[in-house]
Amino acid sequence: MSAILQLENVSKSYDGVPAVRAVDLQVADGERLAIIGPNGAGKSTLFGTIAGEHRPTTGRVLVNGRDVTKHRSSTRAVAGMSRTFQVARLMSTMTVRENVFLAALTGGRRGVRWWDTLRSHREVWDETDLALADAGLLELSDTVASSLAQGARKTLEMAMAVVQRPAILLLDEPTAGMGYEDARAATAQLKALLDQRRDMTIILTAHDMEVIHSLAERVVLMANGEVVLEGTPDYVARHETTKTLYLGQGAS
Amino acid sequence: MNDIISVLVAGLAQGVPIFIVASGLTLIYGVLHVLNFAHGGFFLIGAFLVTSTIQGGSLAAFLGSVLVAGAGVMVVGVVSELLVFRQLYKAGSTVSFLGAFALFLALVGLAISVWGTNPRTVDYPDALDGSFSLLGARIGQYEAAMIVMGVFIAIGLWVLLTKTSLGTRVRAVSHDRTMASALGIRVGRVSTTVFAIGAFLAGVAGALISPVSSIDEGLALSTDYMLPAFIVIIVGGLGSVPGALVAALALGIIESVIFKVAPSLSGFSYYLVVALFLMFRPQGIFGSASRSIQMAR
Repeated sequence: MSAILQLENVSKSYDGVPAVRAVDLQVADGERLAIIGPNGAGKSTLFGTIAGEHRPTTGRVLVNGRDVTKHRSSTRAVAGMSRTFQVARLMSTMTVRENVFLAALTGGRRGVRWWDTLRSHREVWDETDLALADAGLLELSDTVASSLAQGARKTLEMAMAVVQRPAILLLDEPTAGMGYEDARAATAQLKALLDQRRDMTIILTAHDMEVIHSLAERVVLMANGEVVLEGTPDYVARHETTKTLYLGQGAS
Repeated sequence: MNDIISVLVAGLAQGVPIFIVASGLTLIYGVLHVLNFAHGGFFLIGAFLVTSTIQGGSLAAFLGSVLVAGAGVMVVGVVSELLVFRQLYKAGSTVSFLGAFALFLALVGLAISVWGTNPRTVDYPDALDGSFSLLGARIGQYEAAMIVMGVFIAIGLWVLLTKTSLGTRVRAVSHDRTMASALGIRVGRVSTTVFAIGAFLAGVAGALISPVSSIDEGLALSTDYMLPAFIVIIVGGLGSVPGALVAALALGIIESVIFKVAPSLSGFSYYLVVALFLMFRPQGIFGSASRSIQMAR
């Protein structure tokens, strides 16, 4: 399979302090990759660099062979890259349905003019309702996002990312902030949702090995801003380096 | 009875231009989170532009010159946003306030260099240069027309912000710029558009008051329009367009009543009301802890 995403020698420093050092990474079209590592390993910075939130200090980011290093996150989103955040970001004053509609209306959709009324896009509302059904959120459609529980917030954010039909979906800690049971249920639901969209390339960060085993095919382990290990979830989980880095963090 | 109606209409007519100015100001604050102190400069240039384009004449010509003034100020607003405000969004509130104030001074200086310091006046359009009787009260035609314009602008803004694709994007950017960008919304473009709308409204307001006010550089910070507009956005709730509407009309009416019963206290009501709000409800009528724009749904 061809590489949909390539990082070439990507480094990122803040005030001279390196957070990511010379990372080379290739992600194949349709692949499911997890980036893991202890706190401060640089995975969030790398993730933000892929999403276009910050520009790398050196190196290049290529999507389908095209250099997108200087493209902002909005340009990358329009080109087919959607993301979720570690702490779910939603339009808190809008309802669940309006949030998904907003995501469906933006992204890479063509032919939306600024003066178009929201009602005129019947097909977007239809897609919205399908996405709500897929995510199991139909019953919460008219709930204002600010009153959702943590799990539902994450699910809504996921539905917003998926409804954009991205080529690359970036999931930042999809079960962050959840208890064990909620995290297991959310992982199962997420897997079911993602399995309907096998065409999407997925890159996720996670701490929880159960999430990684369930969602990822390949794992990249980071430490001190560098990639230190790569392989299948089983290989990385059993490796001594992982155990050493995660000692006391329950990753094995 | 006719006294009450006259006072009400005068109050509404006074409140409408303040609402139009304040709506742009509160919109810009709600989306871009900067208090645009240069708004008075936009307002002033709008008024001056009308003096250069028309004197009396037909209603259509007057409305045309109001739109030209709005469009002209919109261009000034877009240039200001791209050259000045883009640098200020990430600066602290003190820096952005000073930057906006510097722009204000520059715009007033620009207006003086183009139009001079002698006060200018504009005649009423022929069709609105009279009065009519409403339940025994004499109402100026221009006052009534101004109220109608205010209604149109309020409805137009409400439709734009709540019913259109642009409005949805504006609300998203107002709420969370990072997330809006991640969804594919071009935040910079939306910011410029919002600034253009705000500047357009300031220009239109300046143009609309040109037949009822003497126009000189003092208008940029006048106690009749600009200071009340700042007060109105505090009382209505920063970022709230309906709040600006309610506060502008209510304060216009209160001011009109005070002018009738105790003329020596005229102008005092704005300061009294804003002082009470700052003491007891600093978030304003429709304000919330969030700084994003508020539209009644």
